[in-house]
Amino acid sequence: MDDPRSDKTAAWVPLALAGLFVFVAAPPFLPRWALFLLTVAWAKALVVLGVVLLLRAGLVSFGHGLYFAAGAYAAGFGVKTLGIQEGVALAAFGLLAGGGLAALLGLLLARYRAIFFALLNLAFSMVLYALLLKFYWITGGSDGIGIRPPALAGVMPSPEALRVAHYYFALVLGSFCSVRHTIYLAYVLAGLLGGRGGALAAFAVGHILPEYAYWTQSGEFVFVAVLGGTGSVIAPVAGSIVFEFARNYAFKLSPYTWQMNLGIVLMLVILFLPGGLWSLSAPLSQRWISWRSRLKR
Amino acid sequence: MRRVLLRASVFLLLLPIAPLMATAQVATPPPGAPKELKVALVDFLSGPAAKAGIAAINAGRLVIGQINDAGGIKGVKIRPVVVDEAGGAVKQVTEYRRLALDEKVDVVLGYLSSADCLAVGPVAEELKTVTIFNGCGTSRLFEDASYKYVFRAVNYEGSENVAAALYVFSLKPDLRTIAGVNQDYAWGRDSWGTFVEAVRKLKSSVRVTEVLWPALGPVDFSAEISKIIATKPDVVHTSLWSGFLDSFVKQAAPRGLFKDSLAVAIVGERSLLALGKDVPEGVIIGGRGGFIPYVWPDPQSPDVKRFYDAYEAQYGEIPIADSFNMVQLVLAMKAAYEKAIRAHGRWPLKEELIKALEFLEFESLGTRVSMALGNGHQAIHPQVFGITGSKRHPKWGFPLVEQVRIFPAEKVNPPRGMKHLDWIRSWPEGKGP
Amino acid sequence: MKLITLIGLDGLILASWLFLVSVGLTFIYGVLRILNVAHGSFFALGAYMGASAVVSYLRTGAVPELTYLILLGAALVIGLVVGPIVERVLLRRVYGREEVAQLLLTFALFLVLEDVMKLVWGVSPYFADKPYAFLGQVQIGGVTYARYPFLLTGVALVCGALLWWFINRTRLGKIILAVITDREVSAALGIDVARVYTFAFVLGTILAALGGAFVAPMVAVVPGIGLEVIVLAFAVVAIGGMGSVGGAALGSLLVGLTRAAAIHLYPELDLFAIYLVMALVLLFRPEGLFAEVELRRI
Repeated sequence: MDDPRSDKTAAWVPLALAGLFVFVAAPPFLPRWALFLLTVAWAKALVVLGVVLLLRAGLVSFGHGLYFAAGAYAAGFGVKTLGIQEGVALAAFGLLAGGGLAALLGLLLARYRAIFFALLNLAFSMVLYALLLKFYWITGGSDGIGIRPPALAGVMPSPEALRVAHYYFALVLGSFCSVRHTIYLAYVLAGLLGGRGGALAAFAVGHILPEYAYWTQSGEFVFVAVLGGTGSVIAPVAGSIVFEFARNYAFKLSPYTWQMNLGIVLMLVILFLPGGLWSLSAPLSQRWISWRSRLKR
Repeated sequence: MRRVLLRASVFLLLLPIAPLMATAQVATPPPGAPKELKVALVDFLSGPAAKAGIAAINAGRLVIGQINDAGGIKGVKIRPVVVDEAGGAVKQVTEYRRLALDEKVDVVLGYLSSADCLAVGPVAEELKTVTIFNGCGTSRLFEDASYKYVFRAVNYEGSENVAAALYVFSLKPDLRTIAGVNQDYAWGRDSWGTFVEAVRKLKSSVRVTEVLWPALGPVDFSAEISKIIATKPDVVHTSLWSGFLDSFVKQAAPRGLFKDSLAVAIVGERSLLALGKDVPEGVIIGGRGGFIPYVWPDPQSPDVKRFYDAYEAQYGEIPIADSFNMVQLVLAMKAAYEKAIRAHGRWPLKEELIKALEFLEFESLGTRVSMALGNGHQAIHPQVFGITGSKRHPKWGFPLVEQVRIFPAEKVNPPRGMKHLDWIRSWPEGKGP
Repeated sequence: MKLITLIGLDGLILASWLFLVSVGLTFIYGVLRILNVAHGSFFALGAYMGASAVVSYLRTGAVPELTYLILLGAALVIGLVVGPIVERVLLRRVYGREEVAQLLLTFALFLVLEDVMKLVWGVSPYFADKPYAFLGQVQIGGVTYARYPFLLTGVALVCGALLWWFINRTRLGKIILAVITDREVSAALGIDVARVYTFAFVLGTILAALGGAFVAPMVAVVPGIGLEVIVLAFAVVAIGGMGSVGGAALGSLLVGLTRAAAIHLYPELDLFAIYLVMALVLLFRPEGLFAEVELRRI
């Protein structure tokens, strides 16, 4: 794991900025489906970042879908019952729902470690899942809630432009977060990030379902966290993007056996890239450092 | 990152991609016609619904092959792109975007899950892609929203449950108690809601004894069955299907549930084939979209017979409701293209195709379908119920369905512009539609 | 009274197969400290193998009495073939790694096996209900029950008892206990820890497959059958205490009775009840009901 304060990380700042620039400049050049995938990936990267925060504190949450769903449903009810059509406000809803729930549950959960922590989170997420299914008349049960992409900062341009706007919204929210903290704080932060990610994903997907809280969704978050690696804030983003595209291509190229292909890719990453995708960047980083020191000389 | 992506894609490429194209011959396409018509077929290829889904995809491919062999749609060949519906609605929305924007398909056909249809519908509108839904039965789709690009060429939960209620009363006019076993999701909730509403309107003194919502996978129904056989309701309504219904029947039959109560499986047709000789006698059976094997559509009609034969020759089994429904989707699309080409004398624009689909009337296999509801976007067609008897199908062993009643489309559907529950509530007390 | 009998019986039936699915999971966790998500796939493999073996056996026209042995054999085949391959080829590479990597590897395996089963057995349901129908029915309190689920209870009891006896009364069992207590010291004492791990994993796999094989006659064996099972098994072992065989029994009973009670008293609560029990138990006894006594001893 890289120490964020080390020289190596400092060396990364310009590269990260360059990467960010690429993401900022990308939309006009991207096909629309890829833009959508990237928006979803950024939204989920937020949740994954929350999972990474916990991983760094030595905790695995196997129920982070709880906050993802809480955020998404908070935004969904904001649209459905309160009639709010403002994306920034709805994202704040998601953020508060995720953070509030985490602040509450964190009081109970911060005492637990290891597998107990993982399973307790799983239990809570499955309770929410069951609740969302059961309160059919309020939540729409398994059919979920459909929402149109909300306006951003009062502007409601054409759907296509709105998609681009949502991409930037996710990008902006995704680009600044990284802190060190106690476990309780990590948990609350992870909840905040999860809720916000859920709200953003709800905007992009346009439909909210109980399966946001299902255990396979939580498993996916942990997976993407490990896939990306825990070494950097950028890693979850990389992991998230690679995962979304890999799954998309698995679907496209082998509709009958996509699970197997995805599983095999995941296996290979775990077996041969223990540090996650992030570890692939080490050689690159070395080159950058040596190049920079040569410049200094 | 690159390396892994590369490694991943090499891996994925290694897997064989099934050859999709059938070869065929001539016809002069109308002006403006594309080289080929790219059509997505979406249904479950994995998970518990895969049996139904693959039967639908198989039928879709088969009929598209037949159309192509006969020269395509006015000379334009159809190229199917197959997509797995498994993985949840969020994934389906992502997949749909890929189909519309990356694959650039002309028409999307399919979707079995109500949640998927409700999630995909608005995306279809946003991306302006003509989409015809299949077996997803939710009434919310066109009763609570209106669409321009989205259609459903198979009837929905409302017609099936109204027909079920009418059929139950025709067999058991002295009905006093009912119970329900339905899965805890929209299809189950909506089906039960419609059925109870209709039954109560037909006879207000009917009492509901048990309402059960099994939520676990298709494994254990012991407690649900105990509860029902302890109270012995006159009628047990269930919208369970596929593996769920198969397991339920397996566990309930030996315990006498089907002897004590008259069970009505509104989409039990799929289990006839799966369970074969183990289907108990005296169970009311309906099928999604009205289909019941060798009963409806009329197996003697030449088109239907040809389809049975071709399907069996190709896949070694007989088609199920999902197969017929998918064929209906393909035929709806074909009819709309032909209608639009006739009207405009050239290959239609997207908006012209939609106009042709709205209120379209077309011949499906052995049955006439009209897109009468949902402002011309929702199909209605006859709905059929029957009860399993003692005679068996000579080849496949399942009990033949007897006392068949064919409900004309108008009898089990609300008039234009009316929601089905409002329509049921408007029936005169004690009398059907 | 009748209601209590019904809840008790239905709860017991559910508990029986829950125990069969979860005991292997808890055993593997107890020894290897790996939470095996692919356990659900082993269950499904057992169900497919059991069902298809019974179907082809009955096609020979032989006596139905032996189908129970066929089911047992199917479970052994799956356990003895799949178990060693997975442990030696996959898990062995990640023993030194953090818990989450181990867990995710089994998650990936779960995905792969889902499609492998589809490729081998197709998507049509498999039925092997002869063993179920053969035993007939019994009247209890005016309600008809099939006898077979009670055979399942018997199988669960025998499995639990045998496992307990094996761990506490045999030499190999004591060696396993030694490895659980202290891996390094055991290795220093000349115990072949690697072999103990393989053995334990294979045993756990057999138990999962056994659960699948004996549940198969009650159900339609369809793709995805392992998905719901695994999360229920998680709930059971978490309630009972990770790594505890007694805990798995208690957890199964608690979950079984809770669900049966929910269905009989207030069916809307069905699924919800199970996870609520799990959350409550974990909150008040995070190590599970049984773990204090047995966590380190199985």
